[in-house]
Amino acid sequence: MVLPSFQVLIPSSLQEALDMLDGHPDARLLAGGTDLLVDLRPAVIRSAPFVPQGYADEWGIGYQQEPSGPLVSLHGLEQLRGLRSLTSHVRAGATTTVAELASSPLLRKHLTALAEGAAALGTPLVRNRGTYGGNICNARPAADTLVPTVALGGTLHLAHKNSTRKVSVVDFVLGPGRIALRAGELLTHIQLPFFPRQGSAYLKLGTRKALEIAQVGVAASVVLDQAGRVVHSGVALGAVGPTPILCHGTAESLHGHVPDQAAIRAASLAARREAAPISDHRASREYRLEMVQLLTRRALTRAVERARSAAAPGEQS
Amino acid sequence: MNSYRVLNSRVARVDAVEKVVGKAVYTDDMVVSGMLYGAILHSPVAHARILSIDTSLAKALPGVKAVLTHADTGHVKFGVSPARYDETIFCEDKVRYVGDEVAAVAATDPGTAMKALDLIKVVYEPLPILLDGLRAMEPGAPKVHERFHRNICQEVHWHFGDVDAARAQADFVRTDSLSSKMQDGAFLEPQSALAQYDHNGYLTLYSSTQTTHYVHRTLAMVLDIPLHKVRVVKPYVGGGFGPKAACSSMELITALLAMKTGRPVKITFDREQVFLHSRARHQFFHKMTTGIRRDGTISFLEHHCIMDGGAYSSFGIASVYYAGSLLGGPYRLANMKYDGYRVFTNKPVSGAQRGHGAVIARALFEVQLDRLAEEIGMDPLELRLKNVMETGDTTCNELDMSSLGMRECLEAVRERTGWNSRRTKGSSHKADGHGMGVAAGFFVSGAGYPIYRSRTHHCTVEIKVAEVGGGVTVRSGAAEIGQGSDTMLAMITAEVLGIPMEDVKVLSGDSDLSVDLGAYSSRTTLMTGHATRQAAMDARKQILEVLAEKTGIPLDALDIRDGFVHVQGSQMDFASIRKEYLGEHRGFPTQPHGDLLTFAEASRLAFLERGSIIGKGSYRPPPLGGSFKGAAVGTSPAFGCSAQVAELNVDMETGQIHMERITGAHDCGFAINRTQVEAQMQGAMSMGLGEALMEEVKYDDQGRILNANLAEYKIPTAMDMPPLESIIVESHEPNGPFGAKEVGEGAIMPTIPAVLNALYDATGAMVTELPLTPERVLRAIKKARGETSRGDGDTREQV
Ligand SMILES: Cc1cc2nc3c(=O)[nH]c(=O)nc-3n(C[C@H](O)[C@H](O)[C@H](O)COP(=O)(O)OP(=O)(O)OC[C@H]3O[C@@H](n4cnc5c(N)ncnc54)[C@H](O)[C@@H]3O)c2cc1C
Repeated sequence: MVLPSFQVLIPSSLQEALDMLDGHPDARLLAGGTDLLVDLRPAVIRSAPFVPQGYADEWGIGYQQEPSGPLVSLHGLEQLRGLRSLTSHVRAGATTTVAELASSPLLRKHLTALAEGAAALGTPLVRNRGTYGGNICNARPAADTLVPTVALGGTLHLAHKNSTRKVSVVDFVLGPGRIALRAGELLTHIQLPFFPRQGSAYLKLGTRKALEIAQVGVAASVVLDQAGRVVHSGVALGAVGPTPILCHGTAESLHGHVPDQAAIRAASLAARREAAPISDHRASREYRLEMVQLLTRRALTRAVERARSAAAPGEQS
Repeated sequence: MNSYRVLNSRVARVDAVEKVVGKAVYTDDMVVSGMLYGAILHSPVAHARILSIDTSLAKALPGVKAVLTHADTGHVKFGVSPARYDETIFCEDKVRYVGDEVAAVAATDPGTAMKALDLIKVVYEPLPILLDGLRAMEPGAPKVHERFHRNICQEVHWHFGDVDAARAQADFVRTDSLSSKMQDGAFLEPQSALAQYDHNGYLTLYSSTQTTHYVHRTLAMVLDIPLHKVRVVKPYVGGGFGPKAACSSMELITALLAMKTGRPVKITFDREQVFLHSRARHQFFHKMTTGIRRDGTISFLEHHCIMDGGAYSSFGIASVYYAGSLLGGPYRLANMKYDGYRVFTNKPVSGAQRGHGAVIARALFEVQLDRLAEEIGMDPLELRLKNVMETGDTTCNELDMSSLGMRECLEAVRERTGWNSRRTKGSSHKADGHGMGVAAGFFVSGAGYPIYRSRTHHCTVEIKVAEVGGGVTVRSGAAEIGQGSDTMLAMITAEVLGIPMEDVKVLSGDSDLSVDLGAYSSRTTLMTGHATRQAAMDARKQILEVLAEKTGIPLDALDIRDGFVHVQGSQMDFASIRKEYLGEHRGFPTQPHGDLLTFAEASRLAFLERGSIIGKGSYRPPPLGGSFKGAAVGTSPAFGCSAQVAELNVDMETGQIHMERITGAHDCGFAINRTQVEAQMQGAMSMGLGEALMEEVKYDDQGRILNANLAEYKIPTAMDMPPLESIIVESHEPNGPFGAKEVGEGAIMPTIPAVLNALYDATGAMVTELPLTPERVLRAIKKARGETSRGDGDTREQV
């Protein structure tokens, strides 16, 4: 593979990175590069570049444009790295690697869906390089850490040369590869709330067991009250619309109920109604709809089990 | 046990360490001074007339040393079979698929070469596109080549025995169909070539190829260079599986660029170009009707096949014969009818891939046998055992089974899997998601004839005894492409000469060293193995002759073992030989000692007496095959065979298949290297699994590949591979060296049908279209249950 030549700027602090972004409006951020460098690959079919329908939408692997501005590397910026547990939420730096998410005992315990999403992403090589922030900012509807982040109600912290702001992940992702990042901004960290008596799960359906783009991905999270009723839930669907879909109907249908089989069934049906998949070369619309319903049922069942067992020791004593 | 010292062992590959530490040199690793980088302009459209090509801007770009189009060539046609030469280096009048080669540049660096491509202006007049192989023969379909009526590249019509009479006798007859998708070879190393052209008109091409011989001939023919002035060298190659078995436009372009610029030129494919060039397995559409007697005897097979070959002939003319001929065994089948069509479409070109032409045909036939076994209430493995051929049998299409351990293979997998107790009778309707399936197959061990008509030796081998004594060098044109042929050459040489493997050096894969048709049709162990054995025996004889003359000991009392000369019966007085040797080696810290003459001393003596000692060997199969049209394809000096049992679990709600285990048994005649035989079996199973479960080159409606990368073209990962068991069966092939025959391709034959049969056992579902994606499987499960697929509106929850 021959990459075109491009310039890489290597800031040594967050502030310097923000200054560089400010000075180069056409700059692109380089985290692990597992999406970006693939995008920079020149096309082999040169004289008629094209993007096949429903294709570049998901990973962006395909036929791409030349880079314009420099790449600003986030590699050495310690402020952007690592996971920290605060009383009621986890703070995940944008350049935390996917491998770190997958193996974090903290996430496994409190935010299992995210750890499962990370573990399901790509291959060990890709997980070691690829970052959480990169997966979110690449904004593919099937992105394996993005979908759980939506279900878990993640909030994104964005920094600009002389300001910062917060935005919910749902409002941030606008469409395939499109995000509400303003010129000069970068994602510094993601904040994920967690609760007692919470359980979550992520399920990914594909043809093979690794290095696979989800045909359907479902993340589910439930928080129970002491009586075992749902006080809060989130179900997010991947690969069945232009962005991950947060299912409002599902949350409504579960709210206040003891999540027994019947309640979970009803919620899964609601999820199916909110999905908006297309038929493409990976799977048909009909199959995806059916799988949304099935995987929602399975993910919710698993999340509820986890919520109950998370509750058990404290509750019983 | 046998008395071999090296053969039949698990000795490590001769190239293992170099490869593991990353020192093995592949073509793209090579950089020579003054080297230019080439790049190819591929057609962006599937079918169009070329109205004009303007290269002036590209030529003017600084750093560009040459820009070539068809106007710069001799317009010589080439291909695989001389009967179907239909390719030119560059497209001349029209382009026939997205990826067809239109122009090329050489520049001082790859970036400049890519930029220059953007400056070439080609004007196309679009033509109607033909993408569907099933429509190719219809009246009014777009014509891919003027020369070929109804887009038929090759058709075959065979009738052996009497199918109609057999049909009347059959108790059960059923018709089934199965289609597959175009594959990609998915080898690790993309094709790469580096050409050098010197002032005396000698061309050297380093290339990632399986067949230096055919590349050699094609370069000489197309570029009009005397054959003896062309040299093709194959450095280490990272896999081929068939697609690298013929000369490509890219190799010709690299050579032509070197000739035009007078500088070395290298071109290495991007992964996307590997897909565009393709030459991998065809897309097949098979329909079969098979009849069976109540007692389980197979009565007849009627077989119809259409193969989508893409834009050019490539190996297709042979593939369409193989698809028919390789159903002649391994079961007794007296009546077989075959109608095969290989058609052109505006897609990348299909060719030969592991199990050439025969894999999907085998899959459908084995599925039919299972269904027929079910109809007569017989265990499917039992049904196969009832019909297997034995050593000495001849198929209805005149293929001789000079050795055939088919029964042994079936019995081995039956025993190893506990088949009789674990596979519940009539289990097809239990539909609990767990299933076991069996299948068998056989394959050639070397094509009986070269691709062009010739009496040529299929291979020659020279073993040169080191003139300084002590070791030998094997010189062979054989192509080590990862399958282990260099190790095989070293093992046979060491065994025959009686010296340790580390004293054998192998030089191979170079057309200057010897003739060898290359790594295809699973030929190398049998054919080059024979030639190596012969060459080693010749070298051994020459050395021992000298020793016999010098010592007066009869030739047949002398033997070499473990690097020492052994004398039967009497003692040998070699004091004067040793004295001379020691005299020649004053000052050397290591000297021969002890009461046995060393191979170093004996081989040095031979040189001193006779000059260079070179052992010569060659191999050419005896005339083979029947007299009917196409009888040559499928002939082989020997046939390998195998059986496999696949076990799997199906998620009945998603259609996902989880493989649990594959147990395979393969008759390789005699295992030269046991580890290598198992490795070939495992590689074949993994390739077969990929083809069964996930591999598929996908196109949009303009003929552009949607998944020309290894992220989206899915082959099994380590996570997808179940535990594999490989059982070696050795039937001692009389026509093979030491009894050896193939394992490289034959071992893939049973994998796909074993999976299909296990899926049926697990779910009752018949899938007629590969690969077995979860969606296809789920649809088939529902069909088997009598449910129709539920549309959008229907939102019933399924329990
Ligand atoms: C072989 C392979 C397999 C893959 N498999 C999967 C898979 O199974 N599931 C999946 O979801 N993805 C997969 N991916 C995609 C990719 O690995 C992930 O999306 C990864 O998380 C991207 O992270 P990165 O750090 O490499 O991003 P980069 O490539 O560095 O960046 C991606 C994009 O995000 C922007 N960006 C990065 N960081 C920031 C930031 N802090 N602030 C603002 N913008 C930023 C970049 O400018 C760029 O546009 C795969 C990729 C490959 C090559």
